[in-house]
Amino acid sequence: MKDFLSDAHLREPPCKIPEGYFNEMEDVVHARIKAEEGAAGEVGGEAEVPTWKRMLRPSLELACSFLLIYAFAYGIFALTGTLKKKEAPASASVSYEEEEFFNSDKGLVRIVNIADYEQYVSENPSEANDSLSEGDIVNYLANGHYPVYVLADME
Amino acid sequence: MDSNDNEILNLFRSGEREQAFNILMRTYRERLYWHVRRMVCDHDDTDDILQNVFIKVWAALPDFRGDCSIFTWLYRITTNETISFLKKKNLHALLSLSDYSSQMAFRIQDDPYFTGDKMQMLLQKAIATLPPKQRNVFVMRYFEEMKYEEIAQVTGITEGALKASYHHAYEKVTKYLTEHV
Repeated sequence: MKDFLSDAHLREPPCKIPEGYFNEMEDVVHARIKAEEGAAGEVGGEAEVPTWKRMLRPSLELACSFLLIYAFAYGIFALTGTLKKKEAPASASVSYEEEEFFNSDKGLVRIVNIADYEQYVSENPSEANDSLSEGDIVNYLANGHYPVYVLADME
Repeated sequence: MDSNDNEILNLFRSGEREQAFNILMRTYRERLYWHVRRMVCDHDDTDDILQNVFIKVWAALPDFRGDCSIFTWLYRITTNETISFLKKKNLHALLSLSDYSSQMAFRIQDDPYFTGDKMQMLLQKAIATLPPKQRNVFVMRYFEEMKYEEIAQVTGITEGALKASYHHAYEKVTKYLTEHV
């Protein structure tokens, strides 16, 4: 490779300075110093924004924009009813119908402890319904008010 | 410190702060201007940096302890200011998905104050491709012919590391010139 840099003329300044630049620059520097000292002397002047805030601001603005767009789109879908209930997967142990049943009043029978019921009846005999025979209860249950799996769980 | 430095500091300490500052500016402004201009190429950018340097010098002059010459101290402030400026420009260029070196190359071509020949323009473009710290070492050594010892005082880098950095910069610039002549 040829050693171009050994050419002495390359070390000379390749550009000129605008005429009167240095005198102007001095004036500007003095003016800026006076302005900055004046501003520093003022009480209650606006505080300078820290560098980290200035650096983070664009990223935060971008993140906020995405958040707003997402919230706006979600609101639109929610209003127009486009959002649907998520269907339970086929492999789930409890079907949608079963879940509906347990959420209804009928399902309450599953969570009433028979021991509690018997204790309640013994303490409040007037509440006991002695007029129903076992056969009446079996018939009532067998008439389709409860699914088979509920009956199987009952003692 | 030389006698000029002592005169400036004595004037400053005697309360003639503005006069001392004016002497300091007039003594070093041109040399500092060329140092910055060779680093950033553009006159307007140089002007901004130089103004900031002198404002910082004015604020820091009361704390100047005199453990190095005023020239070394000024060069240190100027170098830090210029490297910060270049890093900021590089970051802005990166965020706008552009390349600051190529922007600088265009600005050199369009610079109304550029009076050099083709080789000088190519040299400026080659310098614009160097990373800021390497560019600083190259400018101080090649154009200003400073000794490694002086550069080490300004930059705080060891002489060995400076020699390696200058060697790499020299190789890169030569390669660029060879490819573009």
